[in-house]
Amino acid sequence: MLQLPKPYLLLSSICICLLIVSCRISKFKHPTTCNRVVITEKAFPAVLSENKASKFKTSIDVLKNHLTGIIIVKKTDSLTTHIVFVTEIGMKMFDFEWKNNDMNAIYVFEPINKESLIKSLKTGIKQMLLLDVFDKNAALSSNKKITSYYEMEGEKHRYIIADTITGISSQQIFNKNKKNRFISYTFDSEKKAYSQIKSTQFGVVKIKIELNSIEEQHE
Amino acid sequence: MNKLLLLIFLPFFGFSQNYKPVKDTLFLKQKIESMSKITNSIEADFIQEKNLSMLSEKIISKGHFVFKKENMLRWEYQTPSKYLIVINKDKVIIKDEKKTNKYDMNSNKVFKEINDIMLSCVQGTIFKSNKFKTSYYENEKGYKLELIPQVKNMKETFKKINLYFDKNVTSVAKMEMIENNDDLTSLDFINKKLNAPVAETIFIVK
Repeated sequence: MLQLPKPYLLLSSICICLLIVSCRISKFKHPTTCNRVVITEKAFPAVLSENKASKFKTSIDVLKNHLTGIIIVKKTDSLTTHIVFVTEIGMKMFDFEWKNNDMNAIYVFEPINKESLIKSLKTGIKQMLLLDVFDKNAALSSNKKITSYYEMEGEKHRYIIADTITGISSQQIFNKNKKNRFISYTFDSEKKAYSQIKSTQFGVVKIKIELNSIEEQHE
Repeated sequence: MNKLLLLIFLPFFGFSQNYKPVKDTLFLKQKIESMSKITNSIEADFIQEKNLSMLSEKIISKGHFVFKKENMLRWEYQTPSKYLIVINKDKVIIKDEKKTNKYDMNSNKVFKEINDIMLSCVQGTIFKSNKFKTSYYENEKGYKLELIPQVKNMKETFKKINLYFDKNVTSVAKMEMIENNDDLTSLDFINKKLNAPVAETIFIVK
């Protein structure tokens, strides 16, 4: 049997890898239509309610740790939104504050207070909840593969696949052509709200976050 | 991780009208000890209310717990999420809607400590722990034990833990855990059954 030289094998492996990576991002390339727009809530429904707190059953998997509980998101004034994660037994894990397009950690439960983890959580939650999307500029495009997607302006390779009726189906964020985060959305068209949001972060800090909307309890 | 485990469990140990200091604390301590001695099992529903002071929001959870001497506890949340914690002598099992994790108490000092605190809270005998400074109060309806944490880890998170008993000191009626930022977690116990037969199979989780 023909033995291929090692440098040849190495080179071909690199080429295959590059091909796979470029395929990942290439589905957003070559738009057939492209318009510069400002994203408003007419484009697709927001995740959060303007007037009341949103509650989600939450699970966060990071390294070997599996945390579950409830995330409450509430606007405390016109500029400030708090995102608080509390475990089932009432222990607060973190309190993030979204203000002036910036996410700050107001409180983090000491044992999980690791810089890289908190940074990833802040970014992941911000993107999942679409806190940094509305009133921003984007390119609204379509191509042969995707009917309608937004490429966020000012961000490297962040794509939102969405339409006005079914809402967002996914967000895909790439870092140096490698997929960094994939967020999927399940939209309940009857309730006109997202019932489930799942985020997978790839790379060094691998994090999975799942949010399931909680119906208001009327007693 | 150990610190995390310890503090995650602490909310378990957590009415406030015109309470005044108890004059005869020795009598009250004896009553609680005697209650603990004659109680072989406790079964109750619970309502947990987490008050997030800054958001003016509440998270209400409901569930059921069963305690059996010695060292067996089944603590089960039913709404809004299904979440189960079982202590069976030297084993701890935590089960949520997706995963079940089992831990050995003997291989983990923190779990041993958690076990001690949980069970002593359920039985009301936590006042004997040197990890808290306890003050005793009463009103016409019952007693309140105010537990101030003395250990660094707990002090960083909790301002105090309150345990409430009815006037006859038959069992713990309510627990409150107040965090340093004034967030409050309360647990009300209702539909209590004391010393009813309890099958040990409910403390086995597969």
